Amino acid sequence: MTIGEAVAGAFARTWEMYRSAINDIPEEDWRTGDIDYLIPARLVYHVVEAAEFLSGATPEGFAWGHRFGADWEGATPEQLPTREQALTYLDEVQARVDTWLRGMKDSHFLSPDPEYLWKDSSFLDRALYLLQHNRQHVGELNAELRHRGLPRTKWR
Amino acid sequence: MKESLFLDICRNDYGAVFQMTRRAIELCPEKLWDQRMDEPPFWQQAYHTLWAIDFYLSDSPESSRKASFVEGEATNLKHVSATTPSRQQIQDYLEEVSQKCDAVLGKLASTQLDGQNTFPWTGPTLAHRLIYNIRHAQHHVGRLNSILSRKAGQAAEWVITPK
Repeated sequence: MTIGEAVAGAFARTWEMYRSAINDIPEEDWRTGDIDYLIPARLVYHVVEAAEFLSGATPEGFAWGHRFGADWEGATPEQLPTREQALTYLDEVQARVDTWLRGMKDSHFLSPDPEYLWKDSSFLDRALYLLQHNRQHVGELNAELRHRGLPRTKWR
Repeated sequence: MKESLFLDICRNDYGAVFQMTRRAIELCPEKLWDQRMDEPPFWQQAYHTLWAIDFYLSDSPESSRKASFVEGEATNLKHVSATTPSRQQIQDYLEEVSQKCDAVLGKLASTQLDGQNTFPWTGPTLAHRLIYNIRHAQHHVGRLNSILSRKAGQAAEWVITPK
């Protein structure tokens, strides 16, 4: 098994958790919430956009907020993606991340990647950092769903 | 696999997890520490997070241990514990597990990462287990942060490079 295959497998399980959450959250809960940061659409938007950013060839020129015309933190609820839009975005970015990961040989993963995280980081650093970021926010999302009495996405 | 680089990455990512968990524990208001709301109490979730790191860093499931300052079943988030550990006890446990993590990563030999995993549900090799463990812990740090965002108005900041 290559590094790319192993890491892509871990990502696939994480994306499934997000997909399941998006499908299970009722429409009336998707873009609402008494704590702005914890609005499900906002968290999902942030996670998917961060994955788009971090799976790129260079951080230069990435336009945060380009997809829905507003940055994830500042967007009003109406500007946040609908569930359908979020699923489409997730599908696209999942495919992009998967291609990125599976397209790298082990030697490439271990080679320097100084542009994204820190000066002496590698591509594997970046991939695992993104995985960690995804997991952090799915944990947040799950706690919020629990708070609202909604089904939480199953651990994968 | 170039082991030193992989282990360096693990040190960084585990370090970030510990730093975020440490900060989340600090930020938890006293009244929230043992409050059973729609979630298991904060202390139990923090303990579960640390215990799982401890567990998956063990040589085998059989050789793992449970902390003496909590009920044995407190690792299970569905268990309602009759006793409550202090914040200090959980903080001490965090430092203990952090030291264990340093020791485990420090003694790993080059051939072991690709070797058979004694926790097979986490993947075929030890490298898989080390990553699975980080995923699990970060998931729970997210849960702790979500509770803090809602109940305390402040959560542990995201850490890229641990201090």
